[in-house]
Amino acid sequence: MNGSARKKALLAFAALVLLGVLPFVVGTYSIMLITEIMIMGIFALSFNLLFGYTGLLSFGHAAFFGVSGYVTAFLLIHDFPSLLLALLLGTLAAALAAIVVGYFSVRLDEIYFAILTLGFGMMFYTLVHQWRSVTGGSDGLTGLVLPSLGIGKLSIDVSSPKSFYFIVAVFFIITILVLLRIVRSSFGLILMSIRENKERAAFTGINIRAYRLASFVISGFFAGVAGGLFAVFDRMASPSMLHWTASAEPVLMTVLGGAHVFFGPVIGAILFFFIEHVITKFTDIWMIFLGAILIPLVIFFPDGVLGTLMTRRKKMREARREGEE
Amino acid sequence: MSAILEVKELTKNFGKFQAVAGVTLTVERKELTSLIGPNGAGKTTFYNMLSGKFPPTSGRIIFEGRDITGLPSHKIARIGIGRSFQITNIFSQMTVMQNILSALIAHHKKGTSFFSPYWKDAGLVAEAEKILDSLGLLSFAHVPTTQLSYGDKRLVEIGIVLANYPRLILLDEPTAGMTPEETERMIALIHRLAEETDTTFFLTEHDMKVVFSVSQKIYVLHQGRLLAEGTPEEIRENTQVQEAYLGGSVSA
Repeated sequence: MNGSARKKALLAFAALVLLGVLPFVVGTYSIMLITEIMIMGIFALSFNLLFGYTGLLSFGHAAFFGVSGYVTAFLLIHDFPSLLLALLLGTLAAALAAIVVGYFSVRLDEIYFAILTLGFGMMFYTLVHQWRSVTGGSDGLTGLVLPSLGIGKLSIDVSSPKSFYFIVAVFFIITILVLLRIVRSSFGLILMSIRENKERAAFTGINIRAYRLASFVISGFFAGVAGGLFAVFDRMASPSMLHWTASAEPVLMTVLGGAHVFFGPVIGAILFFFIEHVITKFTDIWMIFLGAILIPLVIFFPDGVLGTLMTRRKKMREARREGEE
Repeated sequence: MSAILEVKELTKNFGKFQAVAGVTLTVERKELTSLIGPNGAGKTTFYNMLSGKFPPTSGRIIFEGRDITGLPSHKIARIGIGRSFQITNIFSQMTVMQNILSALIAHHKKGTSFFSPYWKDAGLVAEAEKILDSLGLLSFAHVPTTQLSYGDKRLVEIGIVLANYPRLILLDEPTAGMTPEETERMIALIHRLAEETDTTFFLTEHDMKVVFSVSQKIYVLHQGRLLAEGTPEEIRENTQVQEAYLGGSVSA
């Protein structure tokens, strides 16, 4: 193992220990905050497979987040016996929605792709808002009954914040492992090639649409994982989950943290909640302050906070190496 | 000798403008063929139809006896036609190695490996190294292409094309913008690849020195029509061709 790999392994181990220890040293409020950060981290990571790795800016990603949230909530208010199965069905529904939306959207580029996904997002929003008999209209679906999570002989009470924290943490880690594996695979390299130069990619025999659609569906799937968990976390599914402003959140988080580094969106999610959390202590109009903070961040950290820091460190290391030579 | 590419009455209209007007030509296997003509003669439009960037208005394109007219570019690439572009067209925010690997993955249809890290595919990496070595780029394998010189970037593009093992390579002005030294290197490379591989080269070129030094057969395009065809000597002597080039001599 070389130095950088060892450092990475150490960092991953430290992060795991931190995730495991935190709920025992912080209060319930913080446990719930970290739980929400992890859920939104999954959402932002899913978005970034499409944005950072495939070069497609989706502005309707809340649709998949919401579809999964609603399906999961719908099942759980109707006394569905298994939490995991409800989450799985919600996620599959999100992936299905992504197949349909993706089929039409991936043939377009850049702003046209963004607008089309935004349009689809609005359609889904209107659907859950109007289809009162199933979705509860503007009230959403409330009163989720959480079945306890049985794994073998073990039965976990999901309603306790601490145990739900650990469930979310497991999903968070699995999402990271799977997406990391995907972006570093042959498939991932093809996605990057398409991002860099879709014409060149097509002339090497790559079917651009098929790969973009695959990326879109995987991305929608993980947005669904996040949406289902969020509905359970909130004990409800509400139309705001699908509002276009909800689609902007993963965009903000990703830009904040850095789209071209894998963990950028996670760092972005942490920053986003930290900023929100600190400012709402003083004022309710936190969005104005978020804007005021975002502007200098975007100017001074053009590649996102994590992205820019990593580029700087690399440059410094290169400069030092050149100095030694 | 047999034809690798037969183009019949190929036409492309953009609105009322006829960019290519009924061009018929043949490229023989292993015969280094060039398509020349003044700016705006329709060379790039012609290439774009051959490589599937857009379909022709009318006419047929036959590759190895198979009609490929109107197929999308990724299918034409898979059938065995590779191309380079007038303006360097590579994957910029990636290393030289990743550029070649990407094309190799596409060629070997390994793009659906969702979970296997590409750099652990020893066979693939060895293949990429071989291609880079033949281009003299091996020492740059792990350099991002943004840090390469212009000439080396163009070589990376040739590498991407080679990684598809095409039987016909279309080079659109391969020496455009190059220094005299880089041009020499490119000419030598084309000669070498033409000799060492089974690939047939079909290129467009601005630089007459390059055209006359590499070509065995030349087609001259003028205002979308085929003006002349022949060996470099025949083209050099052709008065019509000389007039097309602003009345100047093409013996440069």
